[in-house]
Amino acid sequence: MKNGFRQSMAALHTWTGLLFGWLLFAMFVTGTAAYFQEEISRWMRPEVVATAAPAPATQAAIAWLQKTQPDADSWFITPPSARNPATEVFWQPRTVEGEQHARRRRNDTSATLDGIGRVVTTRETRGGFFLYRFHFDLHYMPVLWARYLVGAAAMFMLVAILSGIITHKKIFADFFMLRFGKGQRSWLDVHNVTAVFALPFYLMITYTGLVTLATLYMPWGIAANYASPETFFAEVFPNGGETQRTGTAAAMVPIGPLMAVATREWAGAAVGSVQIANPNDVSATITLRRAADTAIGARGESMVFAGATGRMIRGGAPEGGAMATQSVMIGLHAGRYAGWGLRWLYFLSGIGGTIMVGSGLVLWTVKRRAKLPDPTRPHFGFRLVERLNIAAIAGLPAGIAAYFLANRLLPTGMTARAEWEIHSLFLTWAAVLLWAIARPYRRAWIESLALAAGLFASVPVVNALTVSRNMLTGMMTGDWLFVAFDIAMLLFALGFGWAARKASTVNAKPARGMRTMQNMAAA
Amino acid sequence: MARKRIAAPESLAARISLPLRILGAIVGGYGVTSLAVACLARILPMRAAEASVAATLASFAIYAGIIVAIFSARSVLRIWLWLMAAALLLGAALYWSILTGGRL
Amino acid sequence: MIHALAIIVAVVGFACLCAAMVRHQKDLLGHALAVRSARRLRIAGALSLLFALAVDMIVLGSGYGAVAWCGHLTAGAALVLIGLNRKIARDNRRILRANVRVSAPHRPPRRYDTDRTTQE
Repeated sequence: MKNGFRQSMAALHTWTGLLFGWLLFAMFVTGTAAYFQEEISRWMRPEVVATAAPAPATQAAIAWLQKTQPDADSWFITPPSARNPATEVFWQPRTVEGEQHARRRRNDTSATLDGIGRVVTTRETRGGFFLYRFHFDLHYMPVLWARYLVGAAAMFMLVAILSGIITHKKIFADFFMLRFGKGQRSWLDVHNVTAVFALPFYLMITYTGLVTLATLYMPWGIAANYASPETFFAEVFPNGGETQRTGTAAAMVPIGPLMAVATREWAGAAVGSVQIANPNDVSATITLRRAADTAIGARGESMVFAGATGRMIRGGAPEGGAMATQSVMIGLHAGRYAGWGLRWLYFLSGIGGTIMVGSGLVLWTVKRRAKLPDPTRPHFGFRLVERLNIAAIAGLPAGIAAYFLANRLLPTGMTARAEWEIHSLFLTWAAVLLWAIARPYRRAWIESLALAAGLFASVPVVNALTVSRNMLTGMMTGDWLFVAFDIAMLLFALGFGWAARKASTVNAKPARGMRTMQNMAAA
Repeated sequence: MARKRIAAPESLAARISLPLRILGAIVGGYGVTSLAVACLARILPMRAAEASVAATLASFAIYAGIIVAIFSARSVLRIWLWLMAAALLLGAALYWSILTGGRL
Repeated sequence: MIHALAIIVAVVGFACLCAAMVRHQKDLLGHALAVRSARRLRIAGALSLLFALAVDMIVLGSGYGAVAWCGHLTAGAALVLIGLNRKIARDNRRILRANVRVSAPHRPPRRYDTDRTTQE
């Protein structure tokens, strides 16, 4: 290899980028959306309006569980917070010896409560949580496979970033030389600009993303010291062990004072979750965990109390350096600690990453088309990449818009409603793929982008027609979530509409290949 | 294009050079990384759990470094020799360490 | 609010750093700077970025502030780059118009070599 290093780094960058580009694009889209998963969930359950103080709401939730699920193995309560005004509860039903584990639906073991412990009936939906889970669990496939696939993609991304930096070291010195929309090179410019802008973010998000599932991808660090992973986890998370129920009933102390103790201990940080094991038994324990938005580290401190006496059993054990580093890395990735300003910066960086991956994918085709033996009749592999690009870049966003629309349009009493919301996302995505295959290349781009724009634009309209909360009522009553959501949808509609127009107004002459596509800059 | 230049000479050695390199990067790199992480987990002077986590955190940087090194090296043969030497050395160290120290 | 403030400081910082680079002085200021003023600008730019870091860390806490600072730098650099691009595009259009009036050339003068940040 002459000129070896740079050359092979460039090749490495190009081919790793192509191989995992579509998956990375989907991960960037859903991961970016997941920074607002709580808000998306709230929008998708417009019935939930309650706001309440955390301690009384938690007590009310305990009373509700006491009434409906006194025999459960454990209760899990998420008190209301700034980002979610409702109290979420779920429970682990008593496991009976020898009884087959019946397949349970989510709603059978969870409920949404208001501040005084009444069930809030909401439409069945997985909300923003689905987008969050898709980010690393994908869908319609075993979770474990998905996670290996996602991990491989993240590793390729890490290598693509490093090889990108090595190949284009000059990009930093030349940062202010970057120019937008310069005809022939616009795709490259879009790729470069978005890549350099948020480079620290990409490095951080890729590495910490790998760290979140590190024990799955790289179990050998634990295997070297522990005969089985269980020993390791038991040592690191000592409260994981279950205590036997004694069978002697005992009333539990009120939760409010315990929450106050924990908050005092954590210098004012709120309680993020309450877990009660063996409720109403002498052996009952109450575990309080620090809220995720009060420190960067993802593994919040916890305190364990005896349920019957309120005596503290265990305070927060101090973490060692490596554990604390891991906790901070995971926290940085998930961004649960971030306030509004930082959350939007995360979101914009995520959009930057999405555009970077998308423009990189298009760049692959643009750079190759001119070099084809006959650019007007590309070979199968090339056509495949082109069509998959359309499906990935326009199809997934269109699918997400369809997901939101389905949330408003599917009848509330429908069976498997939540699943059908998700199916509508993938059906839309598949439809765009088929459309992209069936239509001429350039028309396919224009129409798919226009479809995405149309779907996003229709979200506020459909919302206003089906639900009593929307942008206008929001402005009058201070319901800013609904204002912001509608505005965001309109902005996405504008963005895709602009891209579609850009794709259609370019050289209408029968110019093929290079020129046509490159003039579509910055879609 | 870079790829063409690599694949252009039609000799067998040149043709299997790229697949061998890719295989070395993905499989060989992962193997050596695993051994390095396991060794680190045993020799880092911290509690066992801490050392395991610290080594695991470093693993992706090690892996990425090996991949980049493999794609920047000149000779495929030399890459594989290095990989095997590293694997032997780390493997022996790990074997000896577990033999004398055992696992929890 | 703190975010807006820090981003503004970062914009000032990057604008100074950009103006301190010889090849951008013509675009940004219309003329070249003396070596000494360029050095002062570079120092001022670096200090602004450090000042943004200090403000972030004092107001938001050290860890949170440091993370937020990275975001603010990204936003600041992006804004300066966008501003620079717009200014150059505007200047080019003006030059083009002037040229059209004088001699009607076939295409705008190519002042900016975009081929310097090549892919390979």
